[in-house]
Amino acid sequence: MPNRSQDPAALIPLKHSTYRVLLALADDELHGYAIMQALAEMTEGRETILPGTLYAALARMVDDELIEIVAGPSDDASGGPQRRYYRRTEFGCAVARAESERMGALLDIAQAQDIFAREAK
Amino acid sequence: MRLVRATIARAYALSLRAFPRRHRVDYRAEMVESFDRALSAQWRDRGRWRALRFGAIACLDVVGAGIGERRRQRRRARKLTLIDLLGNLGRDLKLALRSLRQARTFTVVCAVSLGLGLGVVLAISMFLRMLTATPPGVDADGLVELVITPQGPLRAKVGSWAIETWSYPDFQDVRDADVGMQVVGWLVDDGVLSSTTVAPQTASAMFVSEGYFETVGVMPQQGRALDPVGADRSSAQPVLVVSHRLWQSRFDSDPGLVGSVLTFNRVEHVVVGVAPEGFRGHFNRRAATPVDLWVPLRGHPLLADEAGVRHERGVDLVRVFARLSPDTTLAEADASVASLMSGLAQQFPATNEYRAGSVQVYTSTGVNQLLEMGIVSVMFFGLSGMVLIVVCLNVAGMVLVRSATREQELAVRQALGASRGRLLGCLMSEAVVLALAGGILGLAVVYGGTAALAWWLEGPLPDELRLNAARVAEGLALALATTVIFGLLPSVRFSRSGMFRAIKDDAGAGSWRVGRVHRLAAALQAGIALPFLVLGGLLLDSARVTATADLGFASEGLYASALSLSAAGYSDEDRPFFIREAQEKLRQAAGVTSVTVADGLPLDYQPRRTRVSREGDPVLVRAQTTRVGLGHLGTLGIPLLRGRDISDQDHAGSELVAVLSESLAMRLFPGEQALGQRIESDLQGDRARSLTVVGVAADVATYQMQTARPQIFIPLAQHPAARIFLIARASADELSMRTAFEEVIADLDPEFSRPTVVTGARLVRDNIGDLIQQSTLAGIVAVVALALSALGIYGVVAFMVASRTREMGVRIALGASRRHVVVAVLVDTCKLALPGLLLGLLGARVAVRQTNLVWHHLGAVEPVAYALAIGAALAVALAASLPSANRAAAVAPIEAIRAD
Repeated sequence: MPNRSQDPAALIPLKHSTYRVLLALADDELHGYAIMQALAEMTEGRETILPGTLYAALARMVDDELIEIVAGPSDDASGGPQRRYYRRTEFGCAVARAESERMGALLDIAQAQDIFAREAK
Repeated sequence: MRLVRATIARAYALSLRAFPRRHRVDYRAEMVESFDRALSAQWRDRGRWRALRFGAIACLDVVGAGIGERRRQRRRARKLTLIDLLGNLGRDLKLALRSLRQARTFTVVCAVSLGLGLGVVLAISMFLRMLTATPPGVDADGLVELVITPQGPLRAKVGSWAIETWSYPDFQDVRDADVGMQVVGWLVDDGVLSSTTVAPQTASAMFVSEGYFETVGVMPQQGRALDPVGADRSSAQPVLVVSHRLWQSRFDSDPGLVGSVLTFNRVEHVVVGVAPEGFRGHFNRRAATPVDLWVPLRGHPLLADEAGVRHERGVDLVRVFARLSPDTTLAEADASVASLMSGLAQQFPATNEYRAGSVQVYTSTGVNQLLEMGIVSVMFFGLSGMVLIVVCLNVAGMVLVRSATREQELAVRQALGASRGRLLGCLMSEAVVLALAGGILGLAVVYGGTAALAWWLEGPLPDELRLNAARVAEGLALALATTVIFGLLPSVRFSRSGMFRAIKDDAGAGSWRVGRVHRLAAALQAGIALPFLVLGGLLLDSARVTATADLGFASEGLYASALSLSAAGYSDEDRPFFIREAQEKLRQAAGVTSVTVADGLPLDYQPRRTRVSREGDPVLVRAQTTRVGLGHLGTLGIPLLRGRDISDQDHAGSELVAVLSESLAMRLFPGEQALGQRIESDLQGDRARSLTVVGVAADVATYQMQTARPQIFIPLAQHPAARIFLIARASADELSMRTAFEEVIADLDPEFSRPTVVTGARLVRDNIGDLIQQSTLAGIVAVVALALSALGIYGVVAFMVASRTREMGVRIALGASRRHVVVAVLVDTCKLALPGLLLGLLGARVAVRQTNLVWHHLGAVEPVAYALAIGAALAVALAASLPSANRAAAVAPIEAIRAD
């Protein structure tokens, strides 16, 4: 269902998969498999997303207007089925920002509690 | 290896089925491709086992995500359905508004019918609530009323109704006994209230025994209540609680009133509290003046005096109510009181024999009043039901007409693919819009009616007569229920009509015809107004006859003022002296020709009925009884027909005598000389007494103009009264008489409250005004009934005409004149209405016989009233059918021919 209110706070906190997809679609327009790859690259293989979770998240994000489907580049020669490319919308950016701020605030708390230093000891 | 990979791919494809179909259509190919590529990468980079593990996890992931997606889509679909529904409703309502705007007559008739009917029904419901409502602040749960049930000969004498008042000693015995209740006695009486800042004035006081406020469940807004249960009564200083109304109106909301001293009935009382706002006692006394003060019961003039009635078991004075203890049931309390009273009956047979005690559930009106209210309620509910039936018939009739004329439209919509549910939705929307319009109109009728009533009564209305959210909801719900049930059901019938038949037939109502139900509806509606018209007419005639009839006394030049001697603290011994002095002084005033006293006046709205009978005759006759002083008949201008007036030889201790009105003499002694005969009278508060008839006076109006006139005058000297009227006949004007009364009273007793003078002319004027009000009310009811019946007949005749359009067209085509068609419809209307009119006539006859409407013989007026009412009802029926008749006459013959 379209997110008519366009209020990022209404979607916070984001599902983990949604947040990761938003991050993976940083500047590019990517298709599904490319998103999986981008995410693995971004996190140096620590984070992966499986196709089932990914496509459920994509469908939800399209409905919520976080991402939009765009025509793929004409030089896409994968030979497979017609791929959909996804792009982060402005609302998607705002939501990603809001979620990052939320997580940043949590991180600040953790830092204030000296959690990383204690771990190191 | 290829087989393994194919198997994994197959398993993955199967797992995809967990996703909803729509999702699969959109994403399946991409998902399979992404999975293949990811699997290949795993196989290549991390080996087959890792790849196999990846494949299994991916399958599980797809199933989990698919189930989640299904849930999400279901939630979304639910939201969409609700939005769609709301959207449809909005669209339907808009369409309904447009459609109803086009069918103006239908809309107006239905809305007015609903509005008028619901207005009446709501008004009745509010009125009944007002009669029986528990006064504000009272906690009715666990409250009971203690009454005396007459037994044996006492029952034969006073009837089976409960006796609500108790003698003070009996009350004390019940209060002090262990009956599982907190028992409180009370009575209401007027007294004179004064203080250093407030001039003496009459105040209505509720005299209550200790624990009254606790028992009722109300705590004063300021200060404390009267003595709590168990307080030391002997040392208590006289105290009182002031009503919130009195505190505001007379003492300007003085915050220092609590603790100050007020003089009530010549005794100084300390104000210990102010009752909460709106509290007017536990008893619903709509017609009476509101309670101003709560004073301890033992402070009542009759009980304060040791020589008074506080030790007399033969004088009923105090009403008693109680709150059940938590561990006592009503039956247990009833048994305790019955047993106690049975003991008292054995102990004091002279006064208590045949008096059984009983405990009844508390009602704000009292046990006896509740029974009377029950009868009134049934009558009013019956009236409500009748009105509702008429409204339902009207709405059903009108919807039938509309549905009949829209049958084709509905069939075309069906043919174009509209489902039956969709059509019903449209019809339902129209019903809702109509219900809203009718409901709002009904509420406006009630609002306007109550505002008019408040203006007429020149005062604020009780809360139960004000519209509030609950009443508004009730009105709208009733309107909706009426419209949906009686408006939608006929529509449902039409919505399933044969599509092709309806489309083929464009001559109106297809094959639907006016059936028996419609005929019955029309007949009932024609006759329903008849009883109201007859009653209204007879009341109007009664007003005419009464207003022009001889009242039996000379009202011009008559002046009177009420003096409450008991409230002013005069003992039985002092009263005759005070009365004599007052008469003497007033007689000397300028212009006064004669002076007398009595405990009531003609037309004073105070029924003082006692039952009298010829000595030894069991037949009792109800008669208005007035205790009178010397020269009463002469002063009031009542002609003495035979014998003598009450004279100074009729003093206390001499033979008890009475003067009868002529109509009473004729009823008790038909064809005989009444003078010298003996009668028995059951005077209020007294035992049966034997009286000798010494005179017969002309009939005189009693407490109201239209009441029957059997009346008995007895000497005040032999039957003292606590409240009397000082009456004077004078040639002086009203202003000088007012001054004369004030001067006489102030001269005799400066602490007596300032007298209010009433004139004979004023009494007559008030009574005529009252009659006119009653006739107007009956007229309004009759007009409403006529209006509703007109609307109903219009609906049925319109349907009749709509269903016979083809016949009318053929008639015209065959040469019938339009006038002939109009006459034919009007004749049909008469045939329809006639059975109902006859039924209405029968109803009117019963109503006139059952309702004791008029005091005089109706004579030739009754048949005239019936004839006029039938004429009016028939005229209205014909007028209501005229528009339909004209429509029938205007049918183009071509329509009829084209129809087949």
